[in-house]
Amino acid sequence: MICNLLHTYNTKAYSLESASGKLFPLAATMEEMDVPQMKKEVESLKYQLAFKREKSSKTVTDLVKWIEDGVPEDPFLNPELMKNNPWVEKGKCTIL
Amino acid sequence: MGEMEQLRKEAESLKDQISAARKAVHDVTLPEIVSGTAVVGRVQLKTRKTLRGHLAKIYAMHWGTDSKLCVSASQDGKLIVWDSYTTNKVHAIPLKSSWVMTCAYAPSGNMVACGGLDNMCSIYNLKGKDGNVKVMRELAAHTGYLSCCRFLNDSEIITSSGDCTCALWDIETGTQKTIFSGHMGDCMSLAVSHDFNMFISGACDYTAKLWDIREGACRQTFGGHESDINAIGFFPNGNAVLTGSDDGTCKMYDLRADQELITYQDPSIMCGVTSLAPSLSGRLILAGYDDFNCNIWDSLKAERVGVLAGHDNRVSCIGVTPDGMAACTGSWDSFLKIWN
Repeated sequence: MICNLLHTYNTKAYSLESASGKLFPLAATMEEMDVPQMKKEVESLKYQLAFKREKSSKTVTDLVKWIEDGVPEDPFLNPELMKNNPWVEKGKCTIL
Repeated sequence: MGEMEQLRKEAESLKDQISAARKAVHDVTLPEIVSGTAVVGRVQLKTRKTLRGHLAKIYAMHWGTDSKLCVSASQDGKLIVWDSYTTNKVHAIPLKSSWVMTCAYAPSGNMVACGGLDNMCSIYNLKGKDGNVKVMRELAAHTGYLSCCRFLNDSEIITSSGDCTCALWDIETGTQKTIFSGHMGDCMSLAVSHDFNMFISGACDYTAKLWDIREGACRQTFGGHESDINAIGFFPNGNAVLTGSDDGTCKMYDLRADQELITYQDPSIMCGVTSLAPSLSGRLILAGYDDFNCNIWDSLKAERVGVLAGHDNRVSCIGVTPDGMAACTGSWDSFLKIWN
């Protein structure tokens, strides 16, 4: 797909008018597509629809647990892990 | 009804079905799950090193896998590989085109890549026999600027382009193995999953797309942003995606439930996000903005817990070392800073 400046400009102009909350670009941008591109878009959407979504109650709980389990090992959140800081010179004197 | 009209109706119907499928699994929100969790304490990172040497705006930086060396690209037409511990320049590579927008370090440490308004991705061999760094391959096929590139290994690299596509290249033959098309606006950034099976792209069509590298197909599309997505990153465990946009917000998307989890925003932020990187645990998100600062967000509570202030111009790029020990910011003020 060749994307020339005019196409980009038009896409941006349409998108500026779109209301927030829409999950996808306005249908107006699809008007610029030709039939083969549109067919590809439809095929892609079918493939995306088929994705096996898991319940948020499971996925979000898992994600939060994973983060909280990792916090004790996170150098930005634990000064003790930064005791040997490679970017800080150790000692104040160097022997010439 | 013409064929185009029919296809358009089918597309709209499929989008509605995807929205419904997302609603059907949306039985809890992130704020609900963490309502009892405290916000992390104030995070104060200090500048430990300043990498001086570029003579113009820095557009991109990328850490090597050793968490010590990093590469930066500037519009002074140079790629510099730095030893961040000593601030020494390991390599200073002059570029054919100074309009560079991105750079990448190969996981092996053997190569770096860059590209920009020349529409090409140039691969440089750092371990040449005579010690000189030379162009190994020029990957040319994109019809728009190269916005981002990331190595999968020494023989494969993924690129994103202003021509609205991303591509997987065979570096040896210099050809595109797979073209990932579907975005309806310039692709601005990409990030590869830790297992190298997937990558995500953010574009000027305000969406982020998750791609299966070997299938060549888009698995999921995430919307919600109200302007171009400039920065994108994989959450450390690979199950969530982070985006940063010209609309001034960052968002986290849940890949398993296929939907937006939370937005990181503040009414006082009125400029775009240029770059972002999660901390090792993912509890913190560092985001660079057009207003010269970096904000540090508590990813679970969506509150600002720190600021990296020190640059005299836009923060254009940010990266956290693979071992999580430091962050590096690159700026239009021509300096890179190491923080922890």
